[in-house]
Amino acid sequence: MTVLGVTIGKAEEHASEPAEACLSDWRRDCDAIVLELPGGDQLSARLRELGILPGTLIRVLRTGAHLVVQTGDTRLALRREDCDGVRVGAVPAVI
Amino acid sequence: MSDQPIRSDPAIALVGNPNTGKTTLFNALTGLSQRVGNYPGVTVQYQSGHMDLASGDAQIIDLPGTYSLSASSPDEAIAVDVLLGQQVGADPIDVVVVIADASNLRRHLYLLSQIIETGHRVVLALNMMDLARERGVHVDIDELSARLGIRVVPLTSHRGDGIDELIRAVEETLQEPRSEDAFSSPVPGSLVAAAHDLCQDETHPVNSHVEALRVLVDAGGHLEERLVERTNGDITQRLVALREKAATGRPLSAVESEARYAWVAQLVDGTLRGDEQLRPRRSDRIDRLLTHRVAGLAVFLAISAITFQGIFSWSAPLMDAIDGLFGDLGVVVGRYINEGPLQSLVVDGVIAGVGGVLVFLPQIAILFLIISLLEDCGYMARAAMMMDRLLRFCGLSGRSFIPMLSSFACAVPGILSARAISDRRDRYVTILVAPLMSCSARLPVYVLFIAAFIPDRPMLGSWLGLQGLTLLAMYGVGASVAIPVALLLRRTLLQGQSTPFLIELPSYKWPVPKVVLMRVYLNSREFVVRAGSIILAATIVMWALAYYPHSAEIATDFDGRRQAAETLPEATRTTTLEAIDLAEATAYLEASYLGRAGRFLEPVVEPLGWDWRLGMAALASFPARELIISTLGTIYSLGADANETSSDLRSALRASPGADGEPLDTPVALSVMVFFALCAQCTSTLAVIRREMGSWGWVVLSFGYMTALAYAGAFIVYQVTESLGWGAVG
Repeated sequence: MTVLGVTIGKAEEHASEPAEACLSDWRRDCDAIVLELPGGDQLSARLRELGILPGTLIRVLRTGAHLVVQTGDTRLALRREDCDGVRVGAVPAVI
Repeated sequence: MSDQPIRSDPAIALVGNPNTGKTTLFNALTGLSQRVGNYPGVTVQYQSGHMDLASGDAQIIDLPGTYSLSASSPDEAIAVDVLLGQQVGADPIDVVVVIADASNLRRHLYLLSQIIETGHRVVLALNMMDLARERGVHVDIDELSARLGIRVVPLTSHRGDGIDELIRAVEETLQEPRSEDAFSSPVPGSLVAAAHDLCQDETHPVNSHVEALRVLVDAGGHLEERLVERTNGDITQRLVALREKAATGRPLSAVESEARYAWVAQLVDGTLRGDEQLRPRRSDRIDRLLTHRVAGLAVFLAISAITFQGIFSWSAPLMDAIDGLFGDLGVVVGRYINEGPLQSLVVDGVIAGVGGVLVFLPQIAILFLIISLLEDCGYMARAAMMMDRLLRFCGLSGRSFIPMLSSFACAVPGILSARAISDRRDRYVTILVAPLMSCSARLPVYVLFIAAFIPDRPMLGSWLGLQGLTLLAMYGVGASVAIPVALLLRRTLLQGQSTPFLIELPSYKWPVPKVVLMRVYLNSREFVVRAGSIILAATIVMWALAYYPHSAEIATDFDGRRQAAETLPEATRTTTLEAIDLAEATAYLEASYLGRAGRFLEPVVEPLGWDWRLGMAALASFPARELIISTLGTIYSLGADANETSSDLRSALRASPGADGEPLDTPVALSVMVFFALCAQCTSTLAVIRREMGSWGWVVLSFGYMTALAYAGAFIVYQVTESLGWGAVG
């Protein structure tokens, strides 16, 4: 599943839109599809209950120490480093 | 005519995600009949009320908001326990009303899928229909209802639309028999089978399939913990085996969520339109400002400043009015009771003591008004997110923000609101430091001593004086001491990784006046009840200790002096007689149990710059810190009806000799205030800590560390300011 390995450096972020990245590195106001959530920890269990599952469309509304992520009409605030394991990818151009 | 007659007082539970307008609906259904109840023996409080059905009265229970039945906080555990019939003392639920946000339906149907499984009769209330329409979201109510096999009622609860229809739907649902169908769930068959196995276990460890499912999926959750305890750990091996059996190589919680969302997707296919894209909200732009790391913080500080200003200045006229009322009441009642212990008890003890506390009702009401407004409009979650950075530094999270903020009004509701914190250690640290926030009962102490000993000197232009600055500093003392205390607790007794922080940012909305006022009313009522019970009892005890033994010898002695004074010329007689009365009161006090204890205590409080009177007043304030005002009043021979604005008590304090024989001065005042800022002088708080943390050990710790800090703080402040020569300033 992991295509680009672990390192999506910050330098690369500006170079071009990555096809896949960690949620905390995703650009603001860009839609993304959730690709991967970590296993059985409490945070990802809660995220799943709130509808953030692999395949869900999300948008990052705020970046920085805390992210605000939109899914459906829900906005969730979480710490940047807590979402390290969440991987997201670009929305396919044609739906 | 139905086979199953409705129970005479059916119980209806209201369940839903947070921020779905559940409280608004609850208020619309119950009105003023609501109350806060306690289930016996446990730490649970719940909100309940009555609603009228055509067939009679029904009890309606507002369960804490929860996203799912996987409870992660004590608050959510209450909702789960009531729904699963595990709550001791709770009536069996006859109908569950699930309230969902129509504009964000998918997420809310997740909880519905879990609740339908419990076998309860369910009504789905689709709230916020106005918002959904505005956003172009369309729900096919009839088709949804047909697919679910339950009644679905569209609502706009803040406007009252759909309430009658909801009541009718509840009534019709009550007439129906409970579904006797076998347990069916969208979760994969292997998981259902494992839950079934656990149910069929010969030791009957669980009561229902749903409970079995929750025990298996929510590893480490409260239901598993309780089960392990009940079976003395015998079940642990069995659970491991069952989880292995059910497993598909992935965490069970992930398996469950994905299965449920697949079910939801099927359900809304063809019944829900217009929610496919992520739509911006108008408030997203406001949010960008309010959560901005600089501008957002500035707004937050401004709101805090307005809050404090509001508490202090808006409440003043009301406080004076209440104060005057009790003063007059004391005078009037005093006329009708003959002089003696009874008069003293009623006037000095009950009226002055309890009245002195009720004076703070306006402040409590204003603080709760502001907190309710901020919470109801959706700002609190933003503030919690911004404060998460600071709180994380203390080893806590933004979840602790609301409990801490509420503690500035009163630590009791603050500690109760810590139930929303899922991590046990976070919750415990929050509970232990919450009483350090300067509650409104400390305010009169600050006001009295600042007015008496801090010169009214303008600083920073004209809008903030030295007195105001001192007051602010006193609020800062508690809050800043809380930081190292929390850090220390997190590194010693309550070690552990900091837990992730996740909070929903609800959409902004105009506060619903009814919801806000109801909250102010309920909290104010609780405060008044407290004043009439705990404070009243403590006041009577303190009065008795300061009044008895009331020896006849002193009376004889002073009667003699009075007779001698009668012969004085007219001009000096009155003042001499007054002086004798004062001296007599002082003599009684010094001979009282409290006075004797004060003498005994003197060496202990001397390093703080206090004399025995201050020491006694501080000691008398351990049941409730408000008691210092009435105790000081008694001690300074002015009668207990002296209060913090009384210039007489102020001048009496100024004229009073301190420990060093010099008059009390600024260092002494600062030392008293710092002591009160840090000390655990509140039996209600300690009782709540016992209830919420479940052991006396924590109470002892909390009392011990705060009292030690208070003593050390007062000592340092006195010694430092004294050596700086601040005594001369006062």
